[in-house]
Amino acid sequence: MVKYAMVIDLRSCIGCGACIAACDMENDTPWEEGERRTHVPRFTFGEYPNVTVVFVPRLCMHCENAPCVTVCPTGASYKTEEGVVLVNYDLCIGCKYCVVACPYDARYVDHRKRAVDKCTFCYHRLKEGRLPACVETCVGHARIFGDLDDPESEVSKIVRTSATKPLRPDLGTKPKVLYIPKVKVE
Amino acid sequence: MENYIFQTEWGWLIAIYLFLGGMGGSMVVIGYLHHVRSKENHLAAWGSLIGVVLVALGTLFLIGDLTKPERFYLVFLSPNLNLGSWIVRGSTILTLFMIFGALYAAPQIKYFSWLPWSKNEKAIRILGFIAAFFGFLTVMYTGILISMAKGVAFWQSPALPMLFIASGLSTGVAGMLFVNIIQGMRATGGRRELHFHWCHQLSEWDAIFIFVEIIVTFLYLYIINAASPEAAISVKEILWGSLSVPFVVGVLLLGLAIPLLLEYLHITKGKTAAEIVHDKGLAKPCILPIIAATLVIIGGITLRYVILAAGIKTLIPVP
Repeated sequence: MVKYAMVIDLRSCIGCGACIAACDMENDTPWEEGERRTHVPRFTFGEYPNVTVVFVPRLCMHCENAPCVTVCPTGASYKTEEGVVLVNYDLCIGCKYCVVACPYDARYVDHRKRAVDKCTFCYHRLKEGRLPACVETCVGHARIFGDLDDPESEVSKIVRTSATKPLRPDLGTKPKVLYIPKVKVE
Repeated sequence: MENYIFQTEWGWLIAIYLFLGGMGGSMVVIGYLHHVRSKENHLAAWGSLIGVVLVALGTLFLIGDLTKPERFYLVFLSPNLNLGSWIVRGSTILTLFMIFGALYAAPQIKYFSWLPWSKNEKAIRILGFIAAFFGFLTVMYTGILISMAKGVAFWQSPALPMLFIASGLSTGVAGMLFVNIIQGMRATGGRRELHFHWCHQLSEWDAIFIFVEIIVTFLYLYIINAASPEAAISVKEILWGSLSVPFVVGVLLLGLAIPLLLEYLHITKGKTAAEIVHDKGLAKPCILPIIAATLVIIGGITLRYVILAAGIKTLIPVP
């Protein structure tokens, strides 16, 4: 089996936004309307001159217990065998239940598709043996993508050796996007 | 802490839908109870019929909120239908409610007296029981629907469906009060006094439901406030923040406190049936319940809107 996952190394993200642009070009999202699959909010800790800036790239967490899939009436939101959460746009009626059910604010209504849309881990590229567009373009190699079921993959090695953390593990959603934290000033 | 954001996906259309579901479903529940108690079906029949119409109207609001309204049928016919989704379950409950509600109400109304079971009181009672059962499920489901949305901590409380049940029943009684008064205004003699008596009875029911709703509102806000930081922000917003005017004035004052006071005044200080013999109409002796019912309905819509608008999305701390 294949179990796709992404590790985001917050120590390496410089907040350039190339991932956002690459995602938009690859997936043709209407991002100028605020409808985009990934974004990179910036957080500041401490006060001058002891300051840490952290960029936290955000995307769909492709949860193992995906709340969006649980609530979707028509089965438009579903999980593939590889654990990727996708939307079937033909079945989506736009009730927006998944949007309010997602704790990670990863979903939005695409007004051009008239359906809910979100990150797909560039599923179409994975099928061709290529990496997601955001991973391929990331200048700091902050986004690392691979198969958690393959012990030799880079993500597996990182998960074994580094302290990676999901966002809000207390929610029980079991995200498959994990973060390597950055040391912040106290 | 990260800046918090409100959910904006579910707005006025869904609030009105939740309100109409609660009021319409409750009107059949209250109508059926009244039918059983008074052994009279005139009020129950028209009240139930209006209840079904309100729920049907509500579903139009629900469908209107979809980005693809023309594909609403997929909630029944999708090839990958998710029976665990409360939209699928709710749509089924709504449909069964409307069918049984119509079957219960219609034969008691003279235009539909040709229906084969219209003379069979037992069959009508059984249909009424089933309709009231699905009516109650409709009211309850509107609360379950939003409390299952995991992205909004403020809604994740078993007290929320309880609140919607109390509010739904109270708005349902308000609807029945209007039907009762309109029927009473057209009636004469003893019938008019009977409707006045029912106005009294419905006022008592309404007062009880409002009283329960006040307690549930307090418990819900008090406990959810302690449950999570997101919910605490929501509570702060509705009590002192951007939603305090609609909540404190619209819901607490106009929707709960004043109607309870008015119903209380009507029950304790209002005229008795013997005293209204020389009055004209029914509107004047029942003026307090009429104002109370109007306020309860305004409060019911506002409550649904405030609960939806106060939904704060999950806070995501920096790892």
